[in-house]
Parts: sequence; structure tokens; C-alpha cells
Amino acid sequence: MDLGLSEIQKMLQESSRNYLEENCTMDFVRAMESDDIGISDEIWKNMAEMGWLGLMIPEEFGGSGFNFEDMSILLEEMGRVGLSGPFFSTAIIGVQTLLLSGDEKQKKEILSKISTGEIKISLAFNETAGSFDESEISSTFTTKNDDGWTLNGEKLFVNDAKSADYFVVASKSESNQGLSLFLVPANSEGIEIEKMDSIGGDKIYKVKFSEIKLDDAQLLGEDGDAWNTLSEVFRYGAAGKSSEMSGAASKVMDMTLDYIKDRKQFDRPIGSFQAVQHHAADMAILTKVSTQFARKAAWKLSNSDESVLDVNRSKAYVSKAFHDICQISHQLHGAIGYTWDYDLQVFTRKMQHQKLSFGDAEFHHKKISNLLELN
Amino acid sequence: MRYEFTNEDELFRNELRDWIRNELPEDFNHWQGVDEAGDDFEYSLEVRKKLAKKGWLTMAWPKEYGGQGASYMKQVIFNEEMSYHRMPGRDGFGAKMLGPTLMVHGTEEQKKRFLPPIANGEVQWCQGYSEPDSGSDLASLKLKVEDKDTHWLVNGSKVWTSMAHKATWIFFLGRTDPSAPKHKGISFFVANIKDSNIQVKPIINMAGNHHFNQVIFENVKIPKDALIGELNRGWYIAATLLDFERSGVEYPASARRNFEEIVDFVKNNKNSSGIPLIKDPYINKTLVDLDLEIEAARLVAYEVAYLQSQGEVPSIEGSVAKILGTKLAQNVAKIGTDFAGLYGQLSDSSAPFDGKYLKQQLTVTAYTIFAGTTEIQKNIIATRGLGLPREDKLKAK
Repeated sequence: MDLGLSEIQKMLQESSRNYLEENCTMDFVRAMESDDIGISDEIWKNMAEMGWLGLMIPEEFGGSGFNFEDMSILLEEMGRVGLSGPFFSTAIIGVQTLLLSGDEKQKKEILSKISTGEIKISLAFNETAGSFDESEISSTFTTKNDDGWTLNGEKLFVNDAKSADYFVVASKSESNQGLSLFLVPANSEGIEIEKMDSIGGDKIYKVKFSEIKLDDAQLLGEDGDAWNTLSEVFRYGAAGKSSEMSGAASKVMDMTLDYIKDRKQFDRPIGSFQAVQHHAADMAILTKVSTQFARKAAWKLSNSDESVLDVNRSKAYVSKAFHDICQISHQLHGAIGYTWDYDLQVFTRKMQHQKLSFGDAEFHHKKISNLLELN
Repeated sequence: MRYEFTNEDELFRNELRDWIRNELPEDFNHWQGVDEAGDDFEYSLEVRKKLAKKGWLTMAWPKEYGGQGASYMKQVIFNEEMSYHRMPGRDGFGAKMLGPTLMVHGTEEQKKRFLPPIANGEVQWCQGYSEPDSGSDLASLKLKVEDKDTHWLVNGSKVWTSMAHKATWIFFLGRTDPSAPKHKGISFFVANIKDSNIQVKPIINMAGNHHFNQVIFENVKIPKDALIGELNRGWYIAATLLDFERSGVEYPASARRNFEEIVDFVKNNKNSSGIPLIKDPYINKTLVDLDLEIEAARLVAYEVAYLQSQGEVPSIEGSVAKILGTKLAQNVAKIGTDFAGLYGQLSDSSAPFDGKYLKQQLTVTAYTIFAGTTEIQKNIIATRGLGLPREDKLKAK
């Protein structure tokens, strides 16, 4: 048992905190809410230079060869500043999908360009039901024909569609009814993108694919065999969002402590009242446990074949805990935290996207129930 | 990071588990544990001696005191397995609290005299801290200890003293300087509780059990060397001691065993429509929530042990573990009772598990109160951990 960070993780934590606090200020984060891409070219370039984009990419494909455990530390820091650009879609979901299902040629071609910041990826999975089960795919089909394949369908809640250079599209294979993944260039003819208005300014889109022509080189993995890949990718998504939320929780905690130490009523700081202190203690408990759940899930994903239950537990717990943390923080901030100008509400709005992404608490509850055979 | 035990630790776990299952008087699946503070005290002492022989009772102690200098993680495993298996025999007061205190603060004589019997599992200690007028505000305690040159003279009363009716020795805090500020006039002593001037009066708890007592000292003379550590430093000596008490892995470990037992029951019993209870969405959700709560308490308990292994003093983590663990114990007992429907009010053999969880529900009500209430733990988190100003200090200004 070693619950500490490695030297490299400590360095990553410190350097990323310094960089993000300086460059991803709340003003920047707020400005990005109305931006279609959600990140500046300069920061994206820096992320490539600092090795963040290629953190999980093996060195042979141009990355820095770290793993998700290390990435989770960086995600905590991104959560702390409230950054929600295309990083997650590309450097975690995109990379992990390619690592799990891409062939050598695809990996070589795409992964190296992700490291350098030349390519952004967006996974198009969800449809109308909005779940993360195999049954979600009901209206997107790929049909095999002489020249290759044709893709048709409509996707919802597609993260970072507008900035993507490639979509990874999950579709139902008409020949075998299994799921398949295709790498679709975003400039392909027949793609329509429409914005969905997420409360936290997160970049989610409706993407329509009409009569898209694909060839074998664009197929990731085997035709009809993508569910294994997807379900594993979703575990990275769920664990990653847990890390992000645990980082955000620690920031919300810090903001709250600063406020209740400073704010005076009845001639003394409100943080001296036990009624207030006990709320703060509750937040500290929720934050601490969230961090432990998220780190354990990240560690398991990187170091064990049996990570599923811990990822489910992490996302189930943290999704609920972070909501509670935001709620308590608002209670302690009183009226000021309720205003648009005060930064706390930025985290509260973004929390909604984070807690729902890659399965909400209820979704993961059901998975835990299945794994523990509680039904 | 490494969220798993080492192979060596796991080997120890297996060895311990085999030993426990072999020692249990009946099949593991049916073993319900015993009342260590009551009728089964003697049996518990027997097991304690066996644990001593195996070297496990004081494995946390340094080698120079006959211990193994076992790692914190090994201790976690020990407590986890013992709790999960409902195994009696551990010695919280002697081996876990007084022993380490003597090693730090005791004289050579005191160590020689008191440590071996603890290490051999031969003696039961109890702890005299709380008083009728001093609960959460422990430092206001009044039990009077006067220096009479040849001896100390003790007058006053301790209360909620667990095991005092079974113990031969008591370690306690007494007021040695009434004029000093309250934390600075307290000293730490030991006494033979069988002294004829010490009266142990039973207090029956609401579960109907005799676990704690009132201990009345009336002109009790104790020798000069009954003082442990420096005079008037008792509060700080006791504070070291309290840090040993709060790792809290016992709570999730017991809860996991109870969880499994409850799951087994709701799988094998049906509602009036003939549907297994576990299919009830309410029960299902309750159990998943319980699983998460157990894991939360376990993760924090491991964190406490990890911090200790790094030479850090876990203060906020210790409080978090205590808050989560004790609340968890209450929830398990409640859940174990709730699914029984109308039978949930019965504590006899016509109720599921012979009404065990109902009785537990009454017992564990004390958990969020003893050893620092949940409110006190939250105060500790807020003031020591989060740096918030103390309300009482502000008022004093």
C-alpha cells in the first residue's frame, strides 16, 4: 500500500498547477465557455510541448509513455482550474480508443500527431437514450458494400465535435449487428454539426452522418467487435471524470475556506461558528474520500486487470459527492456565491457535465449491483 | 501509488485467516462472535494468550519490548481480519494504548513491571478518562490527586469506564494542580482497581448489557511510582495515546462481514409475493449505497495507516475515519433490521439473525459518542485540519 505520489507525479502535479494557474485563469475559463473550441491555440501548443497530449501515448508512437495513473494527477489539476476543452476527448478518450483498437498503421499515423497537437479526436457514441450501454446505438449503421462501407446516423452529446479533426464513430454493423468503430475525418462530406447548449459551456454537439463513404483502413478493430473497446474506454472516461471532479472539489473546498475565514458577521469570521465549521468538515470528508476513490480507480486501471468495480464505485461516489460539495459550498457562501460574477458557480455548472459524463451515479450503481450480484 | 498490499502482507493475511478459522469454535459461516466485555470475557482472555504466543498481540511493539515492529499495514491487516471474523482477544487498552504510552513516557521500572503482562495477554486494563461532569470537555476533569509525600491520595469519580468490572488495572487522568490552566494541571496515573477503596459500579446500557461502569475513588492511596511521565503533563501524554486509537479499519471490516451476511439473507428470503427480497429496488439501492460507504471508510482507514507508516501524525484523517466508520456501523445495524419488516422489532429467535442487528442497533448508538463524538471530530477537522478559528477561544477574548 502506497498512497503517495511518485516523484514524477509530484513534479507533474506541481508543474501543471503552476502552468494552469497562470494560464487558465477564471477569466480564461469563462471566456472559453462561449468559444466553439474551448481552448486557445497557444495553450494547446503548450500542452503538446509539455508532453501532456501524449502523456498516455507510448514512446514508439511519439508520446511520453506514461500511463493513466499519471494522467489522473494532471486531470485533478485541470479540474481545479475548471478547464474543459478538447483535451479530455483527445488525450484520454481518443488515445485510449486508438491504443485499444487501432492497428500499427493507424496508431503510428494518428497517435504521433495527437502528441504534437496536430490532431484532435472526438468520440461519437451517444444517441437519443443518453446511456453508456451497448444498447445505446440504435440509429447509426454501417453497411458493407463493394467499395467499403457507408455510414448513416445521428449522434448526440458528442464532445468537442467542432474542434475535432477526426471522429471515432460507433455504429451498428448491419451485417452482424455488433458495434463497430470507424475513424471519420471531420471534413468528410455529409457531416452536419449542431451545437447543444450545455449549462457549463461544455462543448457538446449533435452530429449527423449522412452517406459517409468509408474504406477498410478507417475501421478500428474488427467489424462488429467494438463493444469491448468501448466499454473499456468508458472506464477511462469515468475514472478520468472522477479525477477531474476530485480536483475541482479540492478547489471548491479552498474557495470556501478562504471565504468563511474572511467573511465577518456578528463581529467575527463566520468560519468560527460551529454550524459553519461542521459543514466545512463535511466538505473535507467528501473531498478526501473522493480523491481516494478516484486515485484508486486510476491506479487500478493502470496496474490491474480487475479495475471495473473500483471504477464504478469511484464514479458513483464522486458524482454524488461533488454535487453535495458544491451545494454545501453555496450554502456557506450565502448570497454572493449565487451571483454570476462569483467564480463558484462556474464549478457548479460544469459539475453537471462531469457528473453525467461516462455514466452518472445511478448508472454506476447498477453496474456495482451487477458485479456484486445484488440482484 | 500502490492500492494493494505487498505479497508478504498478503501471505500474512492468509496465515492469520487460516489460524482464525481453525481457532473458531464453530463453522466460520455461523460464527457470530462473543460478548468480550460480558459472559465471554474468560474465553476472550484465552484467545488473547494464544495471540500473544503467536506474537500477534503486540506485533506493533518495537522489538526491544518483545514486539515485532510490524508495519502499520500489517497491523491494518491484523485488525481487518480479526474484525471481519468477529474474533475476540484483542487488547485495546493494554497493548494498543497503555503499552506504547509507557514505552514513550514510562520509567525503566514501570516498563519492566507493566509491559510483560500486557505482552503475554495476562492482564486486563481499563481507561479512566471521562467523569460525570467531564465528557467532551475532558480537560475540565476534577478527580483529585494529592501529593502526600509518601504516596498519592486519590478522590473522585470516573464514568463510562468500559471493562472496569473485568480489569485488574486502570490508567487514568487526575487533577494534580487545580490552580493551573485546565490542560496543564492534569497527570497520568495507573492503579490497581482491586483496591478496597475503589468501587466499581455497573452501568447497564440501553441494549441491556454491562459494558461500562462508574469507578469511584475514595481516599485511595497509590504509590509515588504510579505517576506516568512528568507531573502535570498528563493531558499531553493522553493526547499521544488518543492518536493510537483512531485508525478505524475495524469498522469497514466488520461492516463488510455484516454486509455479506445481509446480502445472503435477502437473496434467500422472499417477500409475500414470493419474490426474493434482493429484487426489491429499495433494498438493492440500499445495499449498493452501503457498499460505497464501506469502501469509503476503508479507503480512509488505509490512508490513516499509510500516513502513520510515513511517520506523519494523521489528525484530520483519523477523525474522518472515526466519523465514517461509526456512522457506517449504525447504518449496517439499521439496514440489518429494516429489511426484516415487522420482525425488525423482535430481538429473539423469531427474528432474522435472532434479532442480532436490532441489538447491535442499540449498542452502536454509542459509537458516534464515545472516543470523541462526531461533533468533536468535526471540530477537530475544522480547527486543526482546515485552520478555522476556534469558537471557544474567540469567546474567551
